[in-house]
Amino acid sequence: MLEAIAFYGLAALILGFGVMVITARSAVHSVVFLVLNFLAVAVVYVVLGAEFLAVIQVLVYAGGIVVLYLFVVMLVNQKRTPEAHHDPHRKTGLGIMLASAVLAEVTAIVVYTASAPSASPIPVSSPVVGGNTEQVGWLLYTDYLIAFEVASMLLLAAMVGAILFARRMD
Amino acid sequence: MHLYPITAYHYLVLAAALFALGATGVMLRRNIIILFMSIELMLNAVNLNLVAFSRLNGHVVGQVFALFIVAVAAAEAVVGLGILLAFYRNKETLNIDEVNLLRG
Amino acid sequence: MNNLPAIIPILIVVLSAAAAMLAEAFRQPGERMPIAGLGLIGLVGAGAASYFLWDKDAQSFGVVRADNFALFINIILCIIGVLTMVFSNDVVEREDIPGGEYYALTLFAISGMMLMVAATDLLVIFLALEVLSLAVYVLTGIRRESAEGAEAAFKYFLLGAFSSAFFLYGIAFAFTIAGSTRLDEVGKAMASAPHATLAMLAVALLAVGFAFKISAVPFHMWTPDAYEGAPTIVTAFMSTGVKAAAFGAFVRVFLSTLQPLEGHWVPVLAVIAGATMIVGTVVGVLQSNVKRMLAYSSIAHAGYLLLGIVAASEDGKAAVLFYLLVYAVANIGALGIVALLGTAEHPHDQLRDFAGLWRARPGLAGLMTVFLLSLGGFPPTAGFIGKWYIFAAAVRDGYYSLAIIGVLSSVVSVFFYLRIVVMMYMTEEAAAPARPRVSGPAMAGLALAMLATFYLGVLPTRVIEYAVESVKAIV
Repeated sequence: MLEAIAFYGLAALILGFGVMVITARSAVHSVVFLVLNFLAVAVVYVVLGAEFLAVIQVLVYAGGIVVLYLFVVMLVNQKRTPEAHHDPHRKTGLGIMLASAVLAEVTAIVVYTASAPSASPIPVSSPVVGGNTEQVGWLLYTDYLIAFEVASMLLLAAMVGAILFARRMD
Repeated sequence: MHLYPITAYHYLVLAAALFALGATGVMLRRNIIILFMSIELMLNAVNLNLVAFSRLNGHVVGQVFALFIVAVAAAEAVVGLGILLAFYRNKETLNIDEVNLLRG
Repeated sequence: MNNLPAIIPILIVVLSAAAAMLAEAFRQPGERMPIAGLGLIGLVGAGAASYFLWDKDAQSFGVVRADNFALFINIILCIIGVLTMVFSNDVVEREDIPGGEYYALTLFAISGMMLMVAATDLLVIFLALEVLSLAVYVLTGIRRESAEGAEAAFKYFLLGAFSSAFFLYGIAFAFTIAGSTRLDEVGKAMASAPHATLAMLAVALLAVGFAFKISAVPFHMWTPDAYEGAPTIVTAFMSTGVKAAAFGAFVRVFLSTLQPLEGHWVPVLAVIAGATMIVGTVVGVLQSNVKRMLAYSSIAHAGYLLLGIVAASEDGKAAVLFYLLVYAVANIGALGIVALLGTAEHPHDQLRDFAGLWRARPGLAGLMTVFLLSLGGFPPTAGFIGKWYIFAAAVRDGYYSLAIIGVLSSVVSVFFYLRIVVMMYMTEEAAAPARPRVSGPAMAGLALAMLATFYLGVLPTRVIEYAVESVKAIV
């Protein structure tokens, strides 16, 4: 019962903050709601027994990526709000239709699958005490060694790109 | 599907809803920074999906996968925001409807 | 088990990228450094390594497999890379492109492409895709003072990141079904398909991701803008390299792992292939910018290649490989010439810029003609054999209407290739800024591309045999 309360509470928070991210008037508000959304997701990870990932979520997402967003929001000190300009050719109605179609479709399919007889409900077992950081680390440096190296290459390439763009123009 | 007890499928539905929310944001908003943030929401939804399933299967591969997605999200954010700065320097706007130099 | 050999070609390219970065770091301001040479050494080395790995079927950690299929595309990528390096040496300084970053990112992108084709794990495929995509986004906007470049990079990035989120969600569903991201495990789970709906969802999302990267209709919107706004040399590189890598992974994932669900995705891809050929050709006819025109032509070519995937016989797969090579050589040649004639102030990318090229530069005009005829599918160039091979495979599999669409769209596309040719030969030169000189190595690269175009057009049997042998790895 406790788990059900936790799940529905967190789900409401995640989706609520998600809606606020995409509906907020100003980008700064959006960033704040994004942090709250990420934190709620991190709590879900703890509930699901992924403590290491929860810590990474807070450190990298909430601590790193979001701060980066904030910096950029401050840097591009906007003279007028982007929403002020209206493009007469913009098909907002079409966008809403497409978006709701995607939402309806994905949810319908997942709900349908989950309610299908082949998918009997599998209860989520209670998390292991002590965490699974060791297992995660073990996998990272054995089966996923190549992926790990490629990720480092990805970050290096991203770094080169970011420095290139952010450097002062001379 | 029942409301109780909570199964991994409940988490899948939550992830699907979050993903669709992010996709909606990308399609509807005009502020480029908010568009980027909507993409972050979509990546988070995928992670939620993976972690829930890693719980269901009882092994941690899904969590390792999710870690890589965090790295990819960081790299994408860095490059995306860099491009955004370069774009802003040239155009002085962040409205997606004013992205209009290249038209054929 | 030795894990190293399978990744040697990729490692060599990564090392040359690191060398390019180091060279730039130690370069004195104003000093010229032959960084392109470093890249050239790395790419030739990677090509040689791929040659020695042929038939060895080396594997690494169960996630990278250098089978003949991957090696064939590796060699195509090395050819693309070598030509890019040779042309870049002329272009980079003139176009105000920061050299060290440019070469490092190009080499990173090539290593990502090689890995994407050789990977047998969806997670590694995705990471490799991200390496190459991020590098190419940055390359698109590498001229920071150019507003068009920044806008092109921005559009490409936004749509690319959006589509890779879909791709990733597809991988997550495949993982949900199989409990693993290894292609063989996913394939087994798909074959038994206990959660058919989730499997379909995974297939659909993966197809969206691939369709975006190969710029198939309706996910092609970024292509003309990105190709027009990017520096021409980057357009030449990405229109060939990204396509080769994405098609390689597309064939591997869809024709081996997702083969059991063929009945569901083949009809959809058939429709997409038809639409891609039609849109690419019809809209291409209306363009007056050569880069934009070649962008639509590359969309049409994605349609022809998709036709090979739809007709998934041995011949169809081999035809895709052969056509990738043919397209790569001709397209990088044509766009390379545009790049070599352009400067930062005067990009030489309008149709009228080509007026009177025959008088001014007979050699370049002749080469351009050969490449354009190959893209249009004229005998005796490679394009004719490539198209014939693909359409024949489609007809043998019973896709008559698609083959007819393909032939008709080739005929229409000839019109816009010939517009450039007519401009070069039959029009008097307008008063335009002087075209820059083309260096010896760049001319040699173009001449090699031309020889390859004729060789593949006149004596294709040997290369086709290699292609047939390589696709045996995909079952």
